Order: sequence, then C-alpha cells, then structure tokens
Amino acid sequence: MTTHNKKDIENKIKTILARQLGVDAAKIGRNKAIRDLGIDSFGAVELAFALKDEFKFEIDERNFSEIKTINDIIEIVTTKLGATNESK
Amino acid sequence: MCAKEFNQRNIGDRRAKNRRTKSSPIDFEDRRKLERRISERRATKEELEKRLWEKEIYIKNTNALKRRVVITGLGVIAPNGIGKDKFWEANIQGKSGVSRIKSFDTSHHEIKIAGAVPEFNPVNYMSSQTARRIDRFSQFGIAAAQEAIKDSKLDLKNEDRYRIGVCMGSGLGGIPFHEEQIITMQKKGFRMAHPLGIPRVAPNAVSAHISIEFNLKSSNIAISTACSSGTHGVGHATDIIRMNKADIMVAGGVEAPITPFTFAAYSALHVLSRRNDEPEKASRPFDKERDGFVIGEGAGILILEELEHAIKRNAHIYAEVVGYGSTGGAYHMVMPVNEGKDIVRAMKLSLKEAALRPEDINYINAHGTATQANDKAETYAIKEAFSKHAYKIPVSATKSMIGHSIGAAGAIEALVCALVIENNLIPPTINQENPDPECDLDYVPNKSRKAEVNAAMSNSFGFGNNNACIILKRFEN
Repeated sequence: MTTHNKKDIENKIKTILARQLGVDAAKIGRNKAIRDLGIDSFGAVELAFALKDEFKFEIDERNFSEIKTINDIIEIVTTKLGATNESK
Repeated sequence: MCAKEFNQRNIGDRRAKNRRTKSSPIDFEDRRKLERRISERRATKEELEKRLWEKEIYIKNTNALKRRVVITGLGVIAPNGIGKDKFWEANIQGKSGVSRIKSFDTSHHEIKIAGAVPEFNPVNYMSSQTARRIDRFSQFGIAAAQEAIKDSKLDLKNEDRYRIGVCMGSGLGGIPFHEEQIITMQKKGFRMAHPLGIPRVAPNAVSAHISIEFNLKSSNIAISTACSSGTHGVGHATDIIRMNKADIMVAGGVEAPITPFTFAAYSALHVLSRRNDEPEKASRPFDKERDGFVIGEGAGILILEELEHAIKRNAHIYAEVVGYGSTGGAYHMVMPVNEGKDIVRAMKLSLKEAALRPEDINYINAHGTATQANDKAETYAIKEAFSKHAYKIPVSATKSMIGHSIGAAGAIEALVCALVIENNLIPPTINQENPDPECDLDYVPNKSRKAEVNAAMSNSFGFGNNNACIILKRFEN
C-alpha cells in the first residue's frame, strides 16, 4: 500500500477535475464550490468513477449532495485512505 | 384568428359556442395562450388539456395523409468533405475519401484502409464537455444536425419545439467506446465498467444528443437496420410528418465504425476489399474487379419539413420526399434473396407510393457496395423493377468515393439525390475500369454528368435482409 499525504491527494484530485472540466489544475482552488465548477449530475457520476479508478475505493455518488467544496472531497479521500492504511 | 376562435369556443364564450371553426394546426401561439391561461388560473390544466386533445384529434382525422414532406436543409460529415458544399464539390470531382487507417494499429489486421473523416474537431460544433462525454457517432450526429439546421435557416427560437423531432439511423452505435470498455474490464475487472457506458454506446445516443443539444421535443427515435438505417431514418421521419405527429424532423443516419473489432469481424465475413495498397481504387462498385466494400464513417442529416410550414417561412426547398418503400427478405442474415426479388418489391413499393411510373425516374443512387453479391443482385433488381427503361437511367454509387458508412450511407445518399435534383448534375461511380457483363447498366463511369433530374431513387439494403428505397422529386406546388 502506498502511503499518501494530503498534498498528493489534493494534487491528484485537482488533476482529475482539470481533466474532466478541461481547465488548468493550478487554477482550481481548494475552497472552490464544485457546483461553481460546472459539475452536473452526470459530472458527479464521472467524478466518482474517476476517483474510484485513481484511489481504488468507491464514493457513493449519492453522497455527493453532501460535498460542497473540493476541500470536502479531499477530506473524504484522506479519511478513506487513512482508514485503509490503519486496517492493513 | 383561428387560435382566438379556438380559445373563445373552448373557454365557454356562449356567443362563440355554436360557431364552427375550420381546422388549423395547433400552433405555437395556441400552446402559449393555454400556458398563460393556466398560469393565470383562468382554467384548469385538465380542462385545457382535454380541449387541446379534442382539437388535435379533429385535425388528425381531417389532415392525416394529405401532408407533403419537403427537404429544406442538408448537413453532411463525410470522408471526402465536411459540409454540404465541400462534400458536393468532392463528389462532382470524383474525389475519393478512402485512405490508410491512422486511428488504430492495423499491423495485425488484413484490412488497412477506410473512408475515415479527416480533421473532424467536435469542439467546433459542441462544448468540450459534451464532446468528451459522447462517442464519435454522436459527435458526428450533432455536427451534421448543426450544419443541416443552419442550412435550413430555421429559427428554432421561434418554432414550436414540441413539433420538431429527431429520427436517426445507426447500425453499430458507440462501438469505439464499447470496445474500449471491454479492454478496460479485462485489465481492471468488471467493477471498472464506466457508469455512463450504456447511455454512451446505445444506438439511440445520437438521436438523444441531437434532441438535447437543439431542444427538440417531438419524437426522439433511433433506427438500427444495419446498412439501410439511414434510409429507414429518412423514410420513417417522412411518415411521422405525414401522419401529423410532427412538422419538422431532423432525420438521417450516422456511423463511426472504424475500430479494431469491426474491421476484424467484417474481414472474417469476407465482405471487405483487400486492396490495401491502392486505397482510392479499393471501392469499385459494379466494376468486374471489385472485391468487397471499404468501411467508411460519417453522417448525413436532412431537415424534413411539412410543405405548408416550409412555404410559410419561405424556406428553400431542395426536393420533396414522395415515396418510401421498405421490405424484408426473410431469407438470410447477410445474403440478398436469390435474384434480389425483395429489392424489386421495395423499389416498386416506393414508386407506387410516389405515384410515379418507372420512366419518371431520372437517376438512381445505388446501394452499390462493391461486393460481388450486392452489385449483381442490385443490377438484376433494377432491371426487374424498371424493365427496358433500366438501361436509360443513370445509376451511380456514392460508396465508390466514400466507402460504406453503414448506418450513415443511406442518409448521405438521399442527400446526394437532393443535390442531384437541385443541380441537375450526377456524380460519377469512380473506379470503373473493367466492365462486368453481369452489371451492364449506365453507372455514370468516372465523370460527373449534366442531366435533367426531376425524380431520383436511393436504394439501401442491410444485413438481416431489410431493403429500403426512397424517392425524391423536384418540388412543384
């Protein structure tokens, strides 16, 4: 299991979003609301899938309603990966 | 005036109660007024829905089957030209769009040539987000629809979108993504199937995306009848307008089949040309040295419009769709019925519907795939359907230049027929070098020809023994 630090996770999430939205990763702020990025319901499904492909665990896209900002995604991923590391 | 009377009569104005109104189509204004009355709570939605329903039934009963359908816009994405003008110019010049495949590694494939659309950039026609989410065939569909709508000069903002539909043929749907997904699942497991995979690969993705992109709210239909999907798309859309289910249809066919699987599978069926070293000479319908078809890709879209609607907005009319015949051979999945008698039946049905005699047809755009079986059966069928007149009709095969774009082919060829009537100019069948005694009609060899064409027939025959013929006629009021 690779170890993750928060900065790595943040960069990976920003890269995924940049690819999905066709924007520059450097221009995506941590506190940016994902709705403002133009992620619609299809976009949420796509994002959940891309995160699953990258981090190898599933985020239920129905929980996306609770996610407001990119920071929320980073927190979820960090917590999930942390939990995975602890259990190993 | 009619809308006013309708409202007076139906909202209960006693003075207007016994007044009989003549039928008029339920137009945009009717619907707007109804919506306003509902919002002002001057009538309940149910009351008004019922009245609208009654009026619609009355109009249907009186007007059905009297409606004429004309072509008012053309959009095409083809290997030898994107857009009506470039495509037509290439056709008249006899320019081939067949080349070596660049989109995938063909080193393990027997077939290395295709009619690929070069330099197609989807973001010229749609947002980058839409382009990224949809498959190539849907991208072609949106692009060709945009070209066709632009060409028709329809101002969608001022049209009743509930009366504009979409009917698109596609034989294979989103096969590129389908294949990509199978490889992904082999590598990463079934859990990595893309959640949007099904809406992306389904053959109706193209009609759905056109409907969404242009906000068209009447019928939203996909037709999948293999190589005749495009002709069935145009024919069925014509029927929809005739039956008063819509006033305008964005109709045609589309395909993006240049993938490793499709090439391997068609190759295994031994229906493809193996002339890899001479791509431009590979597609040679009716030539004695023909050795199969060349797979192509692209889209053809026609704006079909109810005649009165087209006249009212002063639209340019390319031609009228006057006949559509469709038959099934009930014989074999890939072989035409012996001697092509069900092809004959399709041609005769379309002539009957058009109320035309064989000698009224001045041009046939053949299915002409360049397989031994098709070209022989089609030649025989034309002679059966047209008897002696068959030798006097110029017959040309668009596939000689762009290959066989499966579900797009019939629609692109119907579009060619519209342009032939418009320009009185017949594009050639290229690669006519060796006459075949079994294919002895006038195939307009190698050079385009000036000729007065008032009525043109387009043939399409598909795997599954389905045959479709459509007849376009110069518009006369």
